[in-house]
Amino acid sequence: MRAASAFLASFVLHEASFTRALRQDEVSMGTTILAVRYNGGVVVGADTRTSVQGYVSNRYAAKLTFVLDRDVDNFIVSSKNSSNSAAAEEGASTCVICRSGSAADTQHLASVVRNEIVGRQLLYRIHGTVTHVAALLRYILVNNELSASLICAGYDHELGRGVIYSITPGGTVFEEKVWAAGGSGSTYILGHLDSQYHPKDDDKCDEGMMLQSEEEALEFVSKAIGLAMERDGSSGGFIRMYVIDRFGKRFVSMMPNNNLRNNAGTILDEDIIQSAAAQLRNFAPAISPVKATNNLSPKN
Amino acid sequence: MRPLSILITIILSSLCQAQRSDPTQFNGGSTLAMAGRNSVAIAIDARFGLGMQTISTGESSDNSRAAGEGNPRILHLPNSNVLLAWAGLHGDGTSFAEEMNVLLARKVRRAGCMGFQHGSSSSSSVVGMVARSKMSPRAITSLMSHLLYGRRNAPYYVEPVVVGLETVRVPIFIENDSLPLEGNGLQSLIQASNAPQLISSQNEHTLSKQIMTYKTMQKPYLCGTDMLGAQSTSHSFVCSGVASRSLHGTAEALWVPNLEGEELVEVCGRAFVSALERDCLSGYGAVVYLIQGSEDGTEDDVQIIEYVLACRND
Repeated sequence: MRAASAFLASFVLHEASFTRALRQDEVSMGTTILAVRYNGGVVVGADTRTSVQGYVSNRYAAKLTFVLDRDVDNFIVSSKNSSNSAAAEEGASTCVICRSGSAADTQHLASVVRNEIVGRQLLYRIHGTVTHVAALLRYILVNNELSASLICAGYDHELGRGVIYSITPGGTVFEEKVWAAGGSGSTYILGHLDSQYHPKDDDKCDEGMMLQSEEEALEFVSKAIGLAMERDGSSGGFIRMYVIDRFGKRFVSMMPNNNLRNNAGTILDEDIIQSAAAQLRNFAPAISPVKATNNLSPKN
Repeated sequence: MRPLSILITIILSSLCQAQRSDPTQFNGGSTLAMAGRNSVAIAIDARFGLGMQTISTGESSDNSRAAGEGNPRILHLPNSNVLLAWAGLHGDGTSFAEEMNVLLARKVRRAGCMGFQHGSSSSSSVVGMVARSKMSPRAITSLMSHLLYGRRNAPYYVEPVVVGLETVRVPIFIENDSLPLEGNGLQSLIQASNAPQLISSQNEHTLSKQIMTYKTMQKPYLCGTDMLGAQSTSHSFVCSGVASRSLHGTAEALWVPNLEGEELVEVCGRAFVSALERDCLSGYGAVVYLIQGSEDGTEDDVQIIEYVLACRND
């Protein structure tokens, strides 16, 4: 076991030369992305900050890109079911790519992969799966030097469960049993995540050790990302999350709770998001003084 | 397989090293100071970090982030009219603060000038020292420039800001036949000073006015310096720190002349918090200190009020 991890360590350090360092003016999604499996699918989450050397260029970026979406891909007809009228029960995967690294590289990657997977689905008359997406990403990353560290997660209809693949910049793909975290902010929460689900219990996860409900999974993700946003300068904004199961995706967004003594944050619905955006259109948010102390005198 | 994910995330974090090169931006932190009609306000944040990682957010038990209670920004308070704050490399800033403290303490003859006395006020005299009159902000700025330029070849990587109310003498003009006066607030000044006697002023040219008397009043004074002590004064606002580019924009857009008291705090606070939302290396708290002069500009009743603002923690 130790030899295996030493081998892996040397392999990964060698692989570091395959990544491309960010240029000075490049937009970076130094970020926090997290995916966790629960009984029924996966929950993925990301912060919303993109930055250029300390300046926040986008406060509400979307780092979760769908390349397979059960609701959108209903134009794809599988050869297994071409004569079957019960097409609605046919399995289809929903797959999201959580992007971190260079914004340009990862946006381009997601777009290329979406193109490829739709082409293959039409050509071979099949429904693509999350595993296919991960394989395509590996192929592109191995052959090109890009600054992209991704988590490919979703509901795989052939495996019949949620699945999470962690993809390194060099192109290594491996499946994570319970959770995967990526981006610069993830280093601050690895201990926190391990304390909840330690890797030594990975092989027991299918026996019911993993999270059971989507509420638990949402809380798990939002608390962890909130903690990372506090510590990492390049993560911030809101927490965007998607719950992905065999029926498709559902969007949840949360404002991180600044007071860590409470759990997670408050869930926002569309109205509140609209009004927060409206506040920004007035250029400056209203300030709310917490405390005012009068008549301070100098020390001594 | 878990060691792989850990190693990959560490590799990625080492790619984001752009901020490490500039010493003034390494620890983070920003300040913004604005001037009103007879008051000045300075806003400071509370982040201390090492590059992108946040180490301390100055949070104290009652969540206040006030200066001197764990807030990484250090304030100097030589007298009740002047505040000195800085942003920059924290190690250099602490050394700079200690040197300024020694120099100021000798000049104002107190044991020290850093921070506020929260709670009950104690006597301001030390045995054997006689209190002098208040040191003006202009004099403190000169002292600070001298100190900073003295280290021209190995500078302190700090960007200090001095704000205060300075006493100026304003001449009062009056026309020979008591027409309405010109200038800001001169009407009230005349009334306050009991309408002194006319001196002869028989002259057709309106340029010839007789100076009746001088009135001392307090005017806002703002000055920011770079790390070598080059001063730039302003009648509107000064800012320093990692978010200074954004702060220039928001302050320029929101500042208007003749702001009063809490209105000034509102404007300064809004400009500050908006700019901090766009900055990775500042934030985690915003505290605004208002030096409020008296209504008619006399030297009595100068108050310093601290406002702790709710702020995002990312």
